[in-house]
Amino acid sequence: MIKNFLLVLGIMLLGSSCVKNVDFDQADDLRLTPVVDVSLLFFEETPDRFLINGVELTNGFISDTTDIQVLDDSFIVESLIRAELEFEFTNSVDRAFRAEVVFLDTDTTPIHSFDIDIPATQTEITVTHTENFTEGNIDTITATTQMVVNFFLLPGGQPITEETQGSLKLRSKGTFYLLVE
Amino acid sequence: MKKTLLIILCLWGLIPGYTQNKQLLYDFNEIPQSLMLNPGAETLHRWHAGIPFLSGIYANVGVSGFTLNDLFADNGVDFNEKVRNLLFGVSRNDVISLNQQLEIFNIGFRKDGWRGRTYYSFGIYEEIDFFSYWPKDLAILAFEGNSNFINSPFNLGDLNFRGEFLTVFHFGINKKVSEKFTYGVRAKIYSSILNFSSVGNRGTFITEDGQNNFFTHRIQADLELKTSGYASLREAGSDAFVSNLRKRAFLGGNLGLGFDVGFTYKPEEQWTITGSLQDVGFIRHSKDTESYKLNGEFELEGIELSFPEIVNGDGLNDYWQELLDDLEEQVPFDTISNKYTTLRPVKLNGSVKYTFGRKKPSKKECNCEATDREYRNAAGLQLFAVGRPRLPLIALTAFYQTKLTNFLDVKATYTVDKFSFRNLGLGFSSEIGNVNFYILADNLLELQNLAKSHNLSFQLGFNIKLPETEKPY
Repeated sequence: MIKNFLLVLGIMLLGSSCVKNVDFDQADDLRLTPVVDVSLLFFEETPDRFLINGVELTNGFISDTTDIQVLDDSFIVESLIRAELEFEFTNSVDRAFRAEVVFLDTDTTPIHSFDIDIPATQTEITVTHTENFTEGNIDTITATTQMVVNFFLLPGGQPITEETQGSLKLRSKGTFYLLVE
Repeated sequence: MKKTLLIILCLWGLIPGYTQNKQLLYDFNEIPQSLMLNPGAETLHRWHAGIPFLSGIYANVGVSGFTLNDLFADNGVDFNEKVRNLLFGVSRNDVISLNQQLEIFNIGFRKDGWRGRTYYSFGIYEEIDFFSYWPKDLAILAFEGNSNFINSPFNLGDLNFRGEFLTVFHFGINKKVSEKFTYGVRAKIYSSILNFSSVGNRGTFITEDGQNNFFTHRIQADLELKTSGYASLREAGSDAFVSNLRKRAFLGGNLGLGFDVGFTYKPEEQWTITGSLQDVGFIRHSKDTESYKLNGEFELEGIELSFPEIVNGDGLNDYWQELLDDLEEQVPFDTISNKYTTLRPVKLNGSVKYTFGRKKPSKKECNCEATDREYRNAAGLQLFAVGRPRLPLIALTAFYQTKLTNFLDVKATYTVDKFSFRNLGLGFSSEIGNVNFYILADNLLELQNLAKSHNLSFQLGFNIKLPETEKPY
């Protein structure tokens, strides 16, 4: 009895095996959409950077440039669809500043820039600026190979001396949206 | 008792890995290949010769944690949604495994004819074995990025896989000491064709709240991928590899040694206890090796601008190059050619069997074939375990075996393991003339829809075998 049952069961199962209701073409729809957060530039400077021989510079500014070569990687160029760059300035100096961020391409030609005004304060003030790059201008990001940060001391207010308190800070990050098909 | 059972069941859930469990072949002694699982199995024939390339064909594919159906079911759910569910639903201890074996030949004979107590068997088989844990954290990082995982680490140790392609030359001796006790040993030479192994990885990648900037990115890595037989393949291309293959398959490449050992013990007439260990052995990889190592620690908060005083001649800083140099120095990626040794995955089998139901009296006065066992039926339990990089995998099988007709034996198994609590298997072994044909397949309940199954294995083969007789030949 058991034997016959086993035999019948075996034949039934072997005879009816198949793969049902599956569609392997769906694999073509696979899209990876990673979102990557990366720390970018940062610094902390004291107001004495704007002094020369103990006297405040007229139209004083400081400037620095860095290569950003990850963005000319072909995988990233092809996959990057959107980016948000966030710059957060914290000022505790009783003077106003203007920050200028400039994007340069391989020929060191400026292709994009923006300014941020940071007001004077007797306590501490934080100014945040988010620069959005979407479908229309994402090429700007992928073409960028250098970034320049210029920092201008704006006229007006108490002159800066060795005794001037406070600091200027920058924190920045990028959120990069990739689409890999 | 209930508590113990509960603990065992809980442990089961934690035990990873897929098998190579051949629960149908084990102790199915009508099939000569059962000697390959237990060299101390009872031999029921005078000699056997597998039909070359057809005597043992075995394939097994297993995935735990998900099925093809979860991904590819034609149910209107967005494919990427299904992938996402899978990413988070599957555990790092879930596995993907593939095992394939092909006997080139397999021959056995009893020394000193029918009276002999010693059975010799030898042969060559080819094996491909691939095993990988599900690289969960790396898959999540690739699919999702780090943005939603600030302050939570990605475990680089999730990368854990190995694979090998080899031929095995074996020679076994099976000795029947008494009616109660039989033991056997099989010596093996492994001839490795291709091997890769990345099993001891450790490390993390984390993006956490930074001190001076929004985030600190930190990588701690101790990763290694060892390969043998790959460097020449990459350099020479696949054509040269194929021509090289024969040489390597036949002892011209990296070699190893190992053994199987096993026994059969019958404490009572109707009770049988068996046990075996397979592939206790190693392969020494000394030729054509190439290993890749990534080892070190690196922390990044971004690029700190120092605003050099150009006027005073500080010059421009090359932050980017400094960053790359630091990274390369602190987390160097090395390609080296080191000799290494791999252990073969050890397999353990055990069984307890009760035989019952005396055979029906034959119409003939004397049916002298010794394969006609006194008892037609057997039932029992089998245990299987295989060594895997993190923890061994264990499977428990209940079986029933019977002689269906004079020429057909059947074994049915019900196996419980990590993959399935309802793995039903069925195996047939037939004797027509002196030709033995066997076919074994498990996970039959899933055959209705293969896409829904976690693992499948089948095995079949043809042998010529001469049954034991009470007469000298």
